[in-house]
Amino acid sequence: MQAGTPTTELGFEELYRAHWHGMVRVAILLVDDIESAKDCVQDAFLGLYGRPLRNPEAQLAYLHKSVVNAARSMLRRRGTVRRHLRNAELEAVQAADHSVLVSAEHADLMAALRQLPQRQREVLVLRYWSGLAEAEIAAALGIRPGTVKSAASRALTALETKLGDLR
Amino acid sequence: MTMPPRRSDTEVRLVAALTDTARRYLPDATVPPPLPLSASPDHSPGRIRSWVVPVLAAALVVAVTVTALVMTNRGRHYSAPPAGTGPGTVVTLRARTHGLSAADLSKARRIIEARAAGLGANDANVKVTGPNEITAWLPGLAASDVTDLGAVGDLQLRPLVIGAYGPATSQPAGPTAATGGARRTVDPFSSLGFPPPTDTAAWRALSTVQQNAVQDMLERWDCANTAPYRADALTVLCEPDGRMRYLLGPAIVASKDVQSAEVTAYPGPAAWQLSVDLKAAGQQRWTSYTAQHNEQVHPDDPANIWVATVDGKLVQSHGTRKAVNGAPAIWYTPDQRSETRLAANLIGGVLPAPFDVVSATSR
Repeated sequence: MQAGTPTTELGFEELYRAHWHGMVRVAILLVDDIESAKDCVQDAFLGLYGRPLRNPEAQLAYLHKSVVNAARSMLRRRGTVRRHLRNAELEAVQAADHSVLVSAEHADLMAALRQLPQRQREVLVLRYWSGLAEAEIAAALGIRPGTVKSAASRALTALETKLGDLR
Repeated sequence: MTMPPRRSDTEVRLVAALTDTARRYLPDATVPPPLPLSASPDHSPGRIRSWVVPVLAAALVVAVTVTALVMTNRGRHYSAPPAGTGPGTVVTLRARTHGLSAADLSKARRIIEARAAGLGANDANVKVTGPNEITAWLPGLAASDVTDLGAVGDLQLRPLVIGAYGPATSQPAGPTAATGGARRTVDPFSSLGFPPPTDTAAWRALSTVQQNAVQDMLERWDCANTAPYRADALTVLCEPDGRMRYLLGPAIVASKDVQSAEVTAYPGPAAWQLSVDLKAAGQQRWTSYTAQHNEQVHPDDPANIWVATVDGKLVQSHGTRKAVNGAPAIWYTPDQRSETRLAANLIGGVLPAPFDVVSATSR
C-alpha cells in the first residue's frame, strides 16, 4: 500500500509529493469525505514542516499519527453536533440524489466498517490499507501492541457478524 | 523463512473494499494541492526573512490605528473577543442589512454562539464588535467550517403544487427577500384573476382554462427577476439551471418548528442524511400531512412530493411513500461537512438578517 511504502531520506517537498495521496486515502477511510481528509493531511504536513525529523520512518510514523489525530478531531466535532442535537426517527424516503462513491460490491462491508468503534476502525485501516505492522499501528494510535492485536481481532469478528446478519 | 498468515475471507474482502473505496474517492491522477507555505530552503522553519518583521509591525500599527479611529467615530467602543491559545479561527461577520437594532444584534450573537457549539466549538467567544458586526473566536474550527455561519438558516418544507418547464433564465443574482434583500414587490399571481392554487386539490378543482393560465404563468416565470419569496405564502422557486419552476404551497413546517437536527450515516451507500426533530405542533402537522399525502393513498401523484428550501433556495425534493410518524430526513449528500454546517445552522434559531463572512483567519 502506498502509505506504508518505505522511503529513503526525503526533502519536505518530495515527502509531500510521495505521500500526499496515500495519506489522504488513509484519512478518507477514517472520515468518509474527501475535503475533510485533505484538511487532515494538510494539517499533518504543516505539523511535520516545523519538526526536524531526519529519519524517513519517523517522518512516516509522524504523518500517520498526525492524520489519525486530525481525523479524530474531525469526528469529535461531528460527534459534538450529534450530542448537541437529538436523534430523529428516519423517514422512509429514497434519497433523491445519491452520489455513490462506494461500489455496490463493497457497500455492505464499508457500512459495517463505519459502524465499528473508532479505534477498531483505525486499527483495520492502518493494518489492511496502510499495511503497517502492529508496532507501527501502536505508535500511531498511542496504544500497546497487544491492544492493537485484540482490537483487530474484535473488529474482524464484529465485521463478520455484521456481514453475516446481512446475508 | 516464515510464510505470512493466510488471510480469512473477511480480511480479503476488507482489503479489496478499502482499496477500491480509497481509489474511488481519490483517483491516482489527483494532483496534490500546494501547501500554504514555501518549502524551499530559504524558508526553513525558524528562519524569518529580514523584511518580514518590519512589514508585519507596520501592518499591525496601521490596523490598530484604523480600528481605533473607526470605533471612536462610531461613538461606541467595541472590542474583539480574546482568542484562546490552541488552534482555531477568528471570524468576522457583517450583517447585509444595515441598522439592526441592539436586540437583533444580541439575538444574532446568541444564535452564532449556538451554531458554533453545534460545530464543536463549545468555548466559542462571540461578541458584537460593531453596529452591524459580530466577531467570534472559534476554538478547534477551521475557516472552511464557518463559511455558512452567517446564513439566515430559514428552513421550510413545502408541498409541490405543480411544476413547469420553460425557457432558461438565470437564477437571481442578488439576495432573496428571505435573506433580507430588496426584491420586486408586485404580486405575479394577481394577474391570474383567480386565487392561485395552494395545493394539488385546489389545482384539480380549477377549470382547464385556469390550469392553462397557471401553467403559462409558470413557464414564463423569470427566475432572474421575479421571485416573491414570502415565508408562509405561495411561492415559485427555480432549479439552478433556470428551466424548471416549481409552484410551492405554504410551508408545512419551518425553522420555528425545529427542535434539533442531526447528521447520520445513510444505511447502505456512502451518504449522509440530515434529519430534523420537530417540536410537538410541527410534528403533528407533519404527521397529519404525510398521512394524507403519500404513495399508499395517492399512487404516482405529485401531491406526494414535498420540497425542502433553505433561505429561499431549493435544497431537495422528496416523494413520501407512507405516512411518517417521525421527523423528516431532508438532505442527502456524500459530503458530511456540508450537512454538519447545515445542521448547525438549524439550531439556535433564524438570524434576523443574513451575515457575510468578511474575514476568517485560522491558526
